Amino acid sequence: MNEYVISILCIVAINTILALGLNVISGFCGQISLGHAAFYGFGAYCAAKLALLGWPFTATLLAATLATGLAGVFVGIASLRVRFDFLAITTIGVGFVFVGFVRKQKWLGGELGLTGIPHSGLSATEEMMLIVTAALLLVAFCLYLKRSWMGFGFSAIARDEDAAQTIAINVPGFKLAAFGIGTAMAGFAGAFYAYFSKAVLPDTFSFVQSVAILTAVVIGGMGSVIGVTIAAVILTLLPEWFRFIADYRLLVFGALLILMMFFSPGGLAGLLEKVSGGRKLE
Amino acid sequence: MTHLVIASTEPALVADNLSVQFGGVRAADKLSFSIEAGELVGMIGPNGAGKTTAIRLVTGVYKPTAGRIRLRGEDVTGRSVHGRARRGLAHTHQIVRPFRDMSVLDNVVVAAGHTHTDRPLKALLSFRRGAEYDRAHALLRRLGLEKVALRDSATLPLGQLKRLEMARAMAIDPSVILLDEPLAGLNSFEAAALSETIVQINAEGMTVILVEHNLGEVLRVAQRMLVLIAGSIVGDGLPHEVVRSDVVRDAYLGRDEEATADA
Amino acid sequence: MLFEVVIKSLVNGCMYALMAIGLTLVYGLLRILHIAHAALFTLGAYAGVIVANATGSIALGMGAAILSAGVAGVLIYRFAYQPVLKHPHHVPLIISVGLLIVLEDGFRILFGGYGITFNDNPYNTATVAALGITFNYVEIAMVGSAVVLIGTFMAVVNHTRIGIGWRATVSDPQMALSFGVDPIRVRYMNFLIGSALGAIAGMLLALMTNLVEPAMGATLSYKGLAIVVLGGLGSVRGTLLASLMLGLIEAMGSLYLSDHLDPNALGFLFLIAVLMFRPQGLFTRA
Repeated sequence: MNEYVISILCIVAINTILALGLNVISGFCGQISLGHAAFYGFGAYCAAKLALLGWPFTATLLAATLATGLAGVFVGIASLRVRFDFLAITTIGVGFVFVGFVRKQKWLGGELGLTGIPHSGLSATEEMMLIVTAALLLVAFCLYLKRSWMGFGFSAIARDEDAAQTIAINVPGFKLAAFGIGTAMAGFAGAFYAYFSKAVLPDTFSFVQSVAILTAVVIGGMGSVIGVTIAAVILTLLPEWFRFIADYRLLVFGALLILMMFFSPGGLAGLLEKVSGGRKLE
Repeated sequence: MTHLVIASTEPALVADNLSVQFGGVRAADKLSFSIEAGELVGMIGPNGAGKTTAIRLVTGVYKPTAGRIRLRGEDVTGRSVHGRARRGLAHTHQIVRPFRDMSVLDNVVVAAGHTHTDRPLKALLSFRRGAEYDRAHALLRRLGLEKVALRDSATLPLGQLKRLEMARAMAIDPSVILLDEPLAGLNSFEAAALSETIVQINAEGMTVILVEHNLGEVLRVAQRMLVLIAGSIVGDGLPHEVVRSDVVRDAYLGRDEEATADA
Repeated sequence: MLFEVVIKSLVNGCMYALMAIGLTLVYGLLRILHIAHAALFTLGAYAGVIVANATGSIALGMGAAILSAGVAGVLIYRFAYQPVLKHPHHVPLIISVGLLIVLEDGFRILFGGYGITFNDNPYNTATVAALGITFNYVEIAMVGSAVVLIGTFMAVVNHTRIGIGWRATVSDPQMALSFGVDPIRVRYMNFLIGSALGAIAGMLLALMTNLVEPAMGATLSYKGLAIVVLGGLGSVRGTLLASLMLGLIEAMGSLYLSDHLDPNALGFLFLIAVLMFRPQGLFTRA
């Protein structure tokens, strides 16, 4: 397997994990989050810093994932105070505050970020297998989550959180759990990314990145695990297959968002549902 | 939640001097009532009397500025809406709120799973729904919704949606159900049928508070009537007596012409 | 020094106000977060620079800015939002985000990523001194335009029949309809005026910095969102106050905090803090 293929598989896996995490928060639980890249970044910076301090690979991954999940629960508290548009703007704000903060902090490398991140100790192929396996496990996890009572609770909250409260669903607890799980996944992807790219820069985790992750979730169909996975894979590979798209990546993503919302607000999963006569794509 | 059938000396629901203010308006003014287990109590009042506020204070949507609420003796004034629901207070909404894009059955199952939806971590670890499906089916049968169990709740007509509200509320194993104008918008056949169901539920031991604008049905089924005017209870007793009292006639026939048209 | 910073912050505050009015008008009317609004700011600037360079007249450029953005705004309403008004909440929001991204990248593809400048811009160097501070003409124009335009707008809204009709449509479209106010026309006017004001701000910023680039509207748009939420979504007065407040906070932040946090993020930090204590915004009645 050549370097290029290994690299692509890694990026596909990372993007899939990012999209799946956002899907838990916004797709399953209905909490709109337009700042998901901040958690990607949080995990990446945590891992980078710990690695530079000499921590071993596994410990770094675990610590970064947990720390991000906790940060996510903290941000999730916002969803207990505000909803919909206000929550959307708050999460956009979180994204900007994160980037605005890290680009000024000398100990985080400032504008130039952190570089020279130590090697993970695994070969490139082993790293790739790790992240791809993780992605597949997370797909399975999300499918399970959806069928569990947590997922059932999420679906009620996503539809009408006030009514969900009246049937004894612990809405605040569940929302925080959604944020915790979704952001931990982003943190894990970020931690891996730090080792993968050997450098971590503020601009990687901008609002545009959050929009890219959102695009995968929207195109796939909010709430559909398989749909979102397919979308993440396609959206990552599209600019690779069609080189000219790479230059117009944003244009294409934006256009896809608009077109999808017009023709199938339920994304790919929604389309498949209509075509198959009502059978839902999990 | 297992049902402990112990003869309790505590009233099912007590509102103790509840007051709340919005801007300059006292929407609830030392609102007090006490409801015993197993009663079917009607609550009426002209428009603007504070019925919605009272309901929201009881369910926990509003926090009172003064006063307390006790559910089977336990002070729940500081509890959230879902906390009170878990402790046995169910309620149906005046404007129905089914979970759309979800089957009628699932709407009830998720409520029946209330023991699983308290702690998120516990919810993550459980996925079996057999018992909840059985309970939900039983409830749907009782409320005549068996035939539409698998339909998307968003496609149901109002009469059935009102029944779904009730099935869902009952699925959480409550000790008290607060019904917020369940008969509103129904034709006389549907209203009569639904109030029959309410009477049956009460006959089985469920404490029911029926907040209604439809005086006719309330008079027919309630054992006791509370009258709410300007945020306080001004009448409490046998329905036919309470309705004849001066205070109530004044409020309904004197100043509020809309209520006359309804009654 | 502090005094100068405060006064100069008014310039930014006015620019934000001109931008944010468009956002708040749309939200008040349609409950849509018109994130794409930023692109109209940029569109106005591009149109203005191109026409000014082609005709040699900055005034014509300004006219082009207003016209192009106004028309584009109305088209966006008609073709991007109107068809999806009945859909669930996130649909118009995502369309708006998509539009912003498409338009911004479009500018980059059409006009290059490095931006374009005026051939002949006398305004950003001409200065005037007052109160011991040097102001350049464009800064004064920014404040002046904001005062005049927004002042006029508020006067119209509060004291004329058209204004009352507009306010009626915002609070109760059905009622307004029964009084003969055409809600569609009101919406077109909203987008027209909001976009035009944004374009004016864009053109003035271009004159100030002598540069128009694809992403110039981006950060502004997000700040605009923060302003609109702080001010109480839909309240013109609240938006104004919040705009000036943001200008001030950023200026202060630049002065004292720039070692720790990018001043651009300050607005959002402030917003998040406010929302946690007052979820309805600073200036709305609870």
